[in-house]
Amino acid sequence: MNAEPMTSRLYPQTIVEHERSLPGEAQVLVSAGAWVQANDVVVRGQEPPSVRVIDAAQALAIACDDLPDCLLVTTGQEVHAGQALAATGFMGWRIVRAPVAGRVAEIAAGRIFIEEPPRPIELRTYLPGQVTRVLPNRGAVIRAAVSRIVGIWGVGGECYGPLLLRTQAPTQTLQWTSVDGGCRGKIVVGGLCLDTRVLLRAARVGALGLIVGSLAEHLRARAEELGLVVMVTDALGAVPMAAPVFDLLAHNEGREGLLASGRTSPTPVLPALNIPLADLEGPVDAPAERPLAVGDRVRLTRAPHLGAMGCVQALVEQDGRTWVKVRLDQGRATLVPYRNLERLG
Amino acid sequence: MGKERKHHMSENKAEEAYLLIDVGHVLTHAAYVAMVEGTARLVALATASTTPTAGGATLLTGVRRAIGDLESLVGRQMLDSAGELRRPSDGDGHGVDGVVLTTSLAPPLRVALVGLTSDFSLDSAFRAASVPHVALVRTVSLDSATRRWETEDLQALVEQPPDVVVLVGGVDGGPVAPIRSMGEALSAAYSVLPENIRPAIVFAGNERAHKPLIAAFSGVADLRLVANVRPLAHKENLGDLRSEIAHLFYRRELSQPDELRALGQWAGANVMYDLDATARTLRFAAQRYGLSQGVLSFDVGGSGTRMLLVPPQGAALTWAGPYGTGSGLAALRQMGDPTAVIRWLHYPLSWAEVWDRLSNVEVRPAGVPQSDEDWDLQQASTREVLRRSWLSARTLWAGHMPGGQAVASADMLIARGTVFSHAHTPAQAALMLIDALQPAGVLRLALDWGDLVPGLSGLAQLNPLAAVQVFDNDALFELGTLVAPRGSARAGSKALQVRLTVRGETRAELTVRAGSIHRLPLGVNERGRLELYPAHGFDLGMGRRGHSGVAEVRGGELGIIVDARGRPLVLPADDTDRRAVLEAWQREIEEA
Repeated sequence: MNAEPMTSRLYPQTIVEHERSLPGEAQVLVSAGAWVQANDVVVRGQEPPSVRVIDAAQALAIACDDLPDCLLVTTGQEVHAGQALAATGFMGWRIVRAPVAGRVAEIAAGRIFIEEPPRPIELRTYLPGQVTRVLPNRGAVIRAAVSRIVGIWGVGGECYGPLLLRTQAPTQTLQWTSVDGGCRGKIVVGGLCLDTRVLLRAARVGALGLIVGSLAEHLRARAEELGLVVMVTDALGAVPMAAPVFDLLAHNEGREGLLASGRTSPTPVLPALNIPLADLEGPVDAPAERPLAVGDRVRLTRAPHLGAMGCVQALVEQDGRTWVKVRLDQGRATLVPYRNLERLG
Repeated sequence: MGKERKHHMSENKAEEAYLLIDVGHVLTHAAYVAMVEGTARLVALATASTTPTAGGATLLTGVRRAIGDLESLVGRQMLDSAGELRRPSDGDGHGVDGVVLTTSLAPPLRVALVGLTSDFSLDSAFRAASVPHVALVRTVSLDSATRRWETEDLQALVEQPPDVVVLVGGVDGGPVAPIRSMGEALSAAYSVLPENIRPAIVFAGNERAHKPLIAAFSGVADLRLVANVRPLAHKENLGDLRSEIAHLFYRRELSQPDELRALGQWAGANVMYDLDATARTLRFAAQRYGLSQGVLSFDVGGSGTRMLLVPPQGAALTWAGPYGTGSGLAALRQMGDPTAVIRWLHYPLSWAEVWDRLSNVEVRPAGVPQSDEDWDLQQASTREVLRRSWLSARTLWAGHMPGGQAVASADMLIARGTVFSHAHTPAQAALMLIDALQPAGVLRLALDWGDLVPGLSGLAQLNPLAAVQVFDNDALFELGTLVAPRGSARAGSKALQVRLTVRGETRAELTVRAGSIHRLPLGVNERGRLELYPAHGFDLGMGRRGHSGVAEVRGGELGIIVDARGRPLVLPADDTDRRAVLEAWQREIEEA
């Protein structure tokens, strides 16, 4: 039997190779082999500049060649928003103003190009560990020991902060009334999120992010609009969080973790939560890919048992496809296509 | 393109074995082609998940897995203990003599077209740029009165610079000033951006404008000058521009130190963009079968759908869009029409349930349908994905068809995608195609069931005879010939009379009622003669409505499919009636 290897979605202890890099030219502040702490800045750079095009000739109703005679600024000059760039007419009544602050980068073909000031960016490690590799002018890769949960859908960028549970069980639905001022600066954890008010409240009180077992499908767009960092661990719809996932989060309540949506990577990846390990229990290995084996804890990813948990009893080849006999936690056994399972642990 | 890769090939091409590998966003397919009784045949197929390029994994991991499955299936070793390819093949059949690599992972070249006016040169540039490896991101014509850029267009090209900007305009010897002004504005805009994100500029217009444009773009952008696409108002020359665009595409791919390049080096093969490769194979098919209207091909993947219309001669038209059966369901969801998928369902699911299930498919595209409801849902969503894709492609292609050919006409439809090759029955696959695209006339239907079509064009470079043999024997799963008159009538009234004759003998005669779909028996590789007598109001494309005719046809797994359900296809508004009709049509097409 040639079942495909798969990594687990859940690791109480594992090693990650954590890349911190910026897309453009950047200043790398660490060296290979160095040990770094969570709040150390690894790389410093700038966002790509934004350019505004102002059709000054058209605004002034003049020919392109006449613009130089009407200019009130020169190339290279810094301007503020609203500043007059060019004027014509009686007493200069026809004026073109800068829509934003910036630098006059170019004047040509009847147009004025304003370059907005680039914003500085700093990336912190967030995961303490050792720098294994420096990426010249881009960043570094840090090897860190963590507890790790990989989700199925995420939105937003990344955030780093302490975990706070706001449901007592993985089957409970997060209520908007439980998202209060105590959630400010925290990553809020709940079983299910089915109410848009939860998202609104989380954004309003300043929660850093949200980890839920499931999110109502129609709330995805809202989460994106609000700019929250959200990770869904199990499914879209109304599906409880898998018990092992909830247990790991509960075990780490109060500890800080790095929640990344995966959307901002150069190659989009799955969202993940990495919690630096405080105390190591035994040797810690990098996540290993291997086929499912008898005894593995698995989660079913398709109807009719979407989100159900179970245990692998057997792997079966049938009609050229691999099927898995799973004993569900509810008691009954069912045959599931191999591709419709995820390993947890 | 790219560096010539040498690999040892045995003296005797007749004994060679090849690997055809196609790397997609979700799945990697590997095919093993070897000689069977002197003829090149597809021996085995394997599929593995495409491994994401993160966390230490590489594309090569998924490729090696797929090849490992092939080894198990055929009992031959293709990889050595280090995971490297064994070359060449030996007397025991172990090893391979050549590898073909195709992929949809290489993103298409993002191209913007800019012309002085919206017709002539811009139309020609559109035709030149309508090649498989190009995604047209913007088409700009300057203001007709002032010949100046609209600020919105210039701002868009600055905010999201494409890979290439193609400038066109003017016949040779015509006025230069508007072209110079066009170039100067663009050059000024791009001079502000960092060098590494400035696009390449290709000028394919009035040759008198070369010097001013060289001056305008000097020190700003990589300016490439090619022959005018419209040297004279009535003359078109697309070849130079098309070649330059292809060169820029492959140059970008080869210059990036990424997974694909590493994969190509491991395989000792140039990586071919799969749409490009597919177009070459389809052109061969159009020529081989004498298809004057060409081949229309659909590749429905998880992350998107691609379409090609390939005539036997001349440029292919392409379209690539975001509607797909995996992560591409997001684009369908964003259309905001929850009933779109429901109308094709046999099972009574609410729209909320439908979109919950489809959303989970979207975020877990590698899964497979498990229950009958899930299969039904997959096929319903595929119909909608195809329908939306076809509408978008037709809109883009309209007005750019050579010789005024109607966009909807082609002699053959070829579909590719797991959703077709894994349908429970060929009839289900055929019905998905017919319902979504609603083709009319007489045309052949086939599936690229093994994802071989892209790889065959690469195999043709290594061993042309082998490629032809595999194409003739193994590449296509012939569903049959579709006969579908345009028009509609009251359900149950006579729509069409059909007589099928095989080798001079009448095999079947049928009166087809409006609103129904039937099959006539004509096997794979069988040929027959169809006499067609459409009722008044129905048009088979044989002259005018109600005009009868004769067609020489080929059979297939489903024989001849006669579809008199009407064009356009109208579904009952009532849910129960609609499900009953869908069930009836499914039964009718399954019955021989």
